Amino acid sequence: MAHTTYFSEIYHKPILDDKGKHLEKLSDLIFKDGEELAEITHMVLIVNGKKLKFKWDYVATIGPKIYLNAVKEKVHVSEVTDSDLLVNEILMDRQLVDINGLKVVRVNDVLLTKNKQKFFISAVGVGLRSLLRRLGLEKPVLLAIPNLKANLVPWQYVQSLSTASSHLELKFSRQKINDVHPADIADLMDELSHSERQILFNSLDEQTAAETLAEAQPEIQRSLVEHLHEAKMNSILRKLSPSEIVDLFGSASTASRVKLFALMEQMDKQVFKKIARLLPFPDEWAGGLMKTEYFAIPVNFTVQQTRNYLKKQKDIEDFHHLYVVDEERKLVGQLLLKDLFLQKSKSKIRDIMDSQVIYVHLKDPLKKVANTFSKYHLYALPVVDKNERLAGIITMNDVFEEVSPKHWRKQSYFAKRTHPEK
Amino acid sequence: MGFKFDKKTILIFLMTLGPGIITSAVDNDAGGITTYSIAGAHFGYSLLWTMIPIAILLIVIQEMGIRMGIATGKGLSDLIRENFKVKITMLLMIGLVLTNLGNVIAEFAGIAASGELFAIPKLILVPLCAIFVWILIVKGNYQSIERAFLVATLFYFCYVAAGIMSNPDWAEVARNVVTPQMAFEAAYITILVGLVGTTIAPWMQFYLQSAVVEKGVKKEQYQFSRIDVIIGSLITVVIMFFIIVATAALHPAGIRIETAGDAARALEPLAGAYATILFGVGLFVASLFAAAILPLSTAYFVCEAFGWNSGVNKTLKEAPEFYGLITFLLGIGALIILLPDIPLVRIMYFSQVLNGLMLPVILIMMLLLVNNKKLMGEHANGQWFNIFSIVSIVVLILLNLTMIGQAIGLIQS
Repeated sequence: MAHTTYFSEIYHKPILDDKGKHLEKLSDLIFKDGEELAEITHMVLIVNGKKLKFKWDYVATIGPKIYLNAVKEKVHVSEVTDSDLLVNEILMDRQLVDINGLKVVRVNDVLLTKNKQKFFISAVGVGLRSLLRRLGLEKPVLLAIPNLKANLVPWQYVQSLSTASSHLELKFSRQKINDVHPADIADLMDELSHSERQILFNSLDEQTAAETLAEAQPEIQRSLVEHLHEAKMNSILRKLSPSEIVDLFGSASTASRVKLFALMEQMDKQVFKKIARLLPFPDEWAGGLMKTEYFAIPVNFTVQQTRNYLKKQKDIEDFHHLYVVDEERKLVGQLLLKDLFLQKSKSKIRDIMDSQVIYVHLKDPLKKVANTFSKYHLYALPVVDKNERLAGIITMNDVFEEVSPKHWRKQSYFAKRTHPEK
Repeated sequence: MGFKFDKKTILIFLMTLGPGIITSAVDNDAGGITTYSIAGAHFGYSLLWTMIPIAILLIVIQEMGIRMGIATGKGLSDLIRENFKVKITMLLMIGLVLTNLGNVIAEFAGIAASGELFAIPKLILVPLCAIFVWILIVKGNYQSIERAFLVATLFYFCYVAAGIMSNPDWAEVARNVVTPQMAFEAAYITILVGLVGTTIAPWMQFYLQSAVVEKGVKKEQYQFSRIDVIIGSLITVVIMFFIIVATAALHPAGIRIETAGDAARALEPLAGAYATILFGVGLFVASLFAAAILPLSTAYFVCEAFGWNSGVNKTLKEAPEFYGLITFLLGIGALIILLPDIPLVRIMYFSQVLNGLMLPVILIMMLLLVNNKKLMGEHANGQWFNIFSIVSIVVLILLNLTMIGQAIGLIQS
C-alpha cells in the first residue's frame, strides 16, 4: 500500500469488496481538520443520486482499484451531512491562502500521506505539475521536463478562504493566520478580492485584526472599514492608538467617517481628547506624524518616582524616549533610559536631565521634520504647540514610512523571522 | 425599488458606475461597427427595430453576471473552475483564448482600416498602437486604466454626430424603430444574426463580473450596478442606432460595402467630409479601446481559473503568466495584420464562428450557476426570471447556430 497518493489518483476509481464485487466509484473523501495534518475519516460514493459515506476502517488498500476488507453487505453506510468536510467539494479547485509563502493559491490536487494505517492530508498541490496530473498529462510532460517541481503547500500552512454564505464553510481548528506578522497580512490583503479580504479579516482575532488594519495601505483600510460591522469596529478601535485611529479616519470614506466619529465619541474621554487634538493635522505636518503616547515626566520628580511612574503606564510601548515637562507642560528637557538605572534613586530629574532638546512645532512640514532627523542623527523628536507645550513625539519610523518611495512599499517583501520553539 | 435621490445616493451611484458602461462600449468594437455599417448601407432603416430586443437581451444576460459577482464575490471563471472542475475549465479556457485572439486580430484590422482613411500606413500605426496598449496595461494601475477607458467611451459620440450629419428622415427612422419587420432572404437574416452576435460576446460576461468583483460592489449597492448595466446596454444600442442611421444614407444609392472603412469613404459625397472623419476617428478609438480590454480581460480570467498571480498593479516579475498572455495576444494580433495578403474577411468570419460556439456554453454554465442556491442564496434566479432568461438564451443559441452555419458556408466559398 502506497505511503503517499494524490487525491486525483484515486478519485473516480472503482471500489471493490473483499470478494471482488464492485461498489460505486469513489466520489469524495471526508476529512477532519487537525493542527498539522487532517485525517481522512470516510469514503464517499454516490448511490442513486444520494451521497453515502462509510468509515475508512473498511479500506484495505487504495490505488487504481480500491479494495475493502469486508463484503459489500457488511459495509455500514450513512448519508453525508452538511457538517462533513469533503475533499473534492471544498478543497479541490478552490482558493486557499498559503500563509507561509503569503499568497493566494488554487488547489490543483491534495496529497494524502499514510501514517499508522490512517491517511492524512499532508499538503495541497498548487503548481503546474498537479494541474497536468489532473488533466492526465503529467507523465508525458515529465518525459520532456523530468525535474518539474511538485509545488506543494504543507497542510499546516493552509488557511481557508471559503465564503460563509453556505454550508461549505471550512472551519479550521486553529486560525493559523494569526501567527503571521500583521504587516505581512496587510500586504496579503492587497492580493485579495474584496470578499476574500472580508473573509480573511473576519477570521483574524481582534488584536491581529487591529494591527493589520493599522498596517494596511490607505485604500485597503478604506474598504475594510466600509464593510466592518459596528460592534467589531468598536472593539478594534479600542485596540488602536489615537494616532492610528486618526490615520484610519483619514483614509475612510465620508460615509464611514460618520460612523467612525460616532464610535470615537463613545470612547474614553481622555482618548477622545487626544484623537480630537490630532485630527486637524494632515500627514505632511509634524502634528499629523506624531503620536500622543509618550512619557512626559514632571521636572520635580525623583528617579525613584519616575521608575514607579513608568511601571504604571502599561499602554505606552515606547520606553526609549523620555521627555521632561514643567508645571505648565512646557518641554524643558529629555532623559536617557539608562540614567534611570545608573543614577541614585533620590536624584532629582532636574539635575540629571539634558536640558538642550531639539524639537519641532505642530505645523512644521514633513521636509523640515525629516531634515531635523537626519541632520542631528535623532531617533525621536518631540513636538510642541504654539505655547511650547509638549503635544506629542515623532519617531524615526513614523518619518521613514512617509518618505520611503511608494513603489518600494508596493513590492511584496516578507522579512525572515525566527519561529517559536515547538 | 424606492430609493431617494439625495446627495449620498448619487455619490454611491457614481462610484458604482463604470463596469457596465465600459463593457457595453467595447461591444461596439471594430466587428460591431462593421456589422452596423453593413446593416445600414444594405438595408437602410429596416433593421432599426432590432435595437429594442437587443437591449433587452443585453440587460437580461448582463444582469445575471453582476448578480453573480455581487452575491458570490467571485469572478465567472473562478465559479466555473470551482463548480465544473479542472478539465472542463481547461477546454473552455483554450476555446476562449483562441476566440479572443480572433477578436484582437479583428480589432487591429479595425485600427489598420481607420489608418487607411487618413493615409497612415498600417505598418506604422498597428505596431504603435500595440506598443501603446502594452505600456498602458503594464505601467498603469486599475484606476488609471478604468479612467482611460471611460474617457474613450466619450469618442463614441462621434457616431451620434455622424448620424445627425447624414440628414436622416427622422419620422421614417422613428417608424422603423418601433415596427419589427422581416425579410426572408439570406443576406437579411445573416446581418440580423450578426447584429446580435457582435453585441453579445462571451468575453464580456467574464469582464463585467470580474469588474464588479474588483470594484467591491456591496449587496446593498446591487441596484446601482443594475442601473449601470441598463445605461451601458442603452448606450450600446444608441450607438448602433446612429451608425445604422449614418450608413443608411448609402442605401438609396445602392452602395455595397464590405468593411467599416468602405462605409466611411462612401459617406463623404453624401454627408460631407466631416462625417467621414468622425466615422474614422470613432472606428479608430473603438478598435484601440477593445484591443486593450480584450487581452486584459482574457489574461484576468485565465489566471483566475488557474490560480496564477494577476492584476495590473503587479509587476512583470510577480505575474509572469498574466503579462505573458497579454503580450502574446497583442503581439500575435498585431503581427497577423501586418502580414501581406492575409484573408482578413475570412479571419473575421472565423472569429465570429468561435464566438458563436463559445457563447451557448458560457450562457448555459451561467444559468446553472445562477440557479445554484448554495452559491447564490436569496439572489438565485426567481421562477419568472428563469423562464425569461431561458427563453433569451434559447433565442441566442438558435441565432448563433444560424450564424455558425452561414459563416462556415462563407469560409468555404
